[in-house]
Amino acid sequence: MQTSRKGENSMTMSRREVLRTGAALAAATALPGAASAQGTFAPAPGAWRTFQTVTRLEIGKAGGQVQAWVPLPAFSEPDWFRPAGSSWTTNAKVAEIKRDAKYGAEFLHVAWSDDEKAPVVEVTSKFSTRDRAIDLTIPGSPISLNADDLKRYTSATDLIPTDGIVKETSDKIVGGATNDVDKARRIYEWLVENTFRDAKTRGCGVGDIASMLKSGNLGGKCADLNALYVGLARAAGLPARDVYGLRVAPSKFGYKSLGAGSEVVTKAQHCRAEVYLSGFGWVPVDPADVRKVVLEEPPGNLPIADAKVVDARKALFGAWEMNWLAYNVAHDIVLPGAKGPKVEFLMYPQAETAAGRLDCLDPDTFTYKITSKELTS
Amino acid sequence: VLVHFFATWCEPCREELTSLSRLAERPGAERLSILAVNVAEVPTRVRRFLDAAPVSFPVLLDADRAVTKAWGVSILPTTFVLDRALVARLFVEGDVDWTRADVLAALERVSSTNSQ
Repeated sequence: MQTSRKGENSMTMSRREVLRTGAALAAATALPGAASAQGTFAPAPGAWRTFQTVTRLEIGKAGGQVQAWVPLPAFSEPDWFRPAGSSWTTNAKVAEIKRDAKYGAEFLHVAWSDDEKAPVVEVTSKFSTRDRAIDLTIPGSPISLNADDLKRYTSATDLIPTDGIVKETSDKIVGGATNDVDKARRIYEWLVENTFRDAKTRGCGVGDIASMLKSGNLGGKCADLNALYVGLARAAGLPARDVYGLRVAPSKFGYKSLGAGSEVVTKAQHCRAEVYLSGFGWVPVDPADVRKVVLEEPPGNLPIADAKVVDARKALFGAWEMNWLAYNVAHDIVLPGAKGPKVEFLMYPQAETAAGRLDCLDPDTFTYKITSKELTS
Repeated sequence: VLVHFFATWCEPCREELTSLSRLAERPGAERLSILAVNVAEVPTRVRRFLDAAPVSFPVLLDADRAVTKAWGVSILPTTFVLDRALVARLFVEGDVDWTRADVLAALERVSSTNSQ
């Protein structure tokens, strides 16, 4: 091998040099920040990022009264998620922000006139966020939970009972644990070892955790697996909550399975879990995403000992990459003005026509599109 | 009367609905009423599901889980078999092949219980 200039001073590469360069190339691809995940997943609080999402609903075959309820990224945690407001354009007669009384979940309630033939609403939301990581070896003095929050985040919900098989399972998992961190970690490791992500589950799953445990079918998606974490933690006396949200950007750690694939994030809903530990406050966890890495991270169906899985598993007990927005932590939400029943969680836009509640997971009957982009300023 | 609780997201429920349809088509099945109860799904989703996989018996919608809770159902599918006096005689948690000989014999026993 030689350069184009020949002669006495030409730069030629000997076989030995070629081999040396080849070895250096091999080392270079192992550097973090490469395009595909090399097994380095380590979110840590750093620079704040600001995003804008646009959610557009178009309700066809209207007829009669049409209403919609659009979740807003209004979950406020000064250390890692700061909502910056929502605005909207619509041909509805009424559009106003409502809050659910129990959990403070915010959503835009939109109601159109009966004669509106093409109901449409477009909601633009902004927020800033940064990665989270809690060092579970150094206790601090976080804000303690008040009595209401303690009750709220240790109680059962419609689909998350804390007694019966949930309590029995939780007792088995945490038996012998020496402290709350140990309990929370054991439940996390149990989830990672015993559940699986089921590609056939529609949307993010339903989260009927007693049914999962009784049937022994521990497959599902985030709303199933992370709800199971919340239920098992609550049954062990640890305050815990599901945080419902949406992936808005690719993972900067190169994990294809843990980020949005494009600006269109219509189907990128993802819910996570938090557990409250004395000395540490709300601690982020995400066992469902560990199982997502196992199933989906290229080339797919990774063994649990794969470096990418090992790294994600280590990080996702105590850290979240914030390429994701948080809507709310609400369960069993009554939608004001709705004819249909309450919703188990509010992560997808909801709508009703004269025909009743629309299927938020069926793009043929209920059309909506969510896009996201990062703002530079 | 056979009361069957199901959801479209529940994998084993799908096979069992097929099995119940086969049961409903058997000779002598006219003595048996089958009622399926969908648990807390939006009507359009259930309708589309049944369009693709029709069944020969009525499907009721328990939109707010009130019936499901009242019947103590905690796993899907769950099925109850009631006698002619509408007293629950059998229940099954999980899926079952309703055309299996021992299952048919059990149904027959329920049918004869209430005639005594």
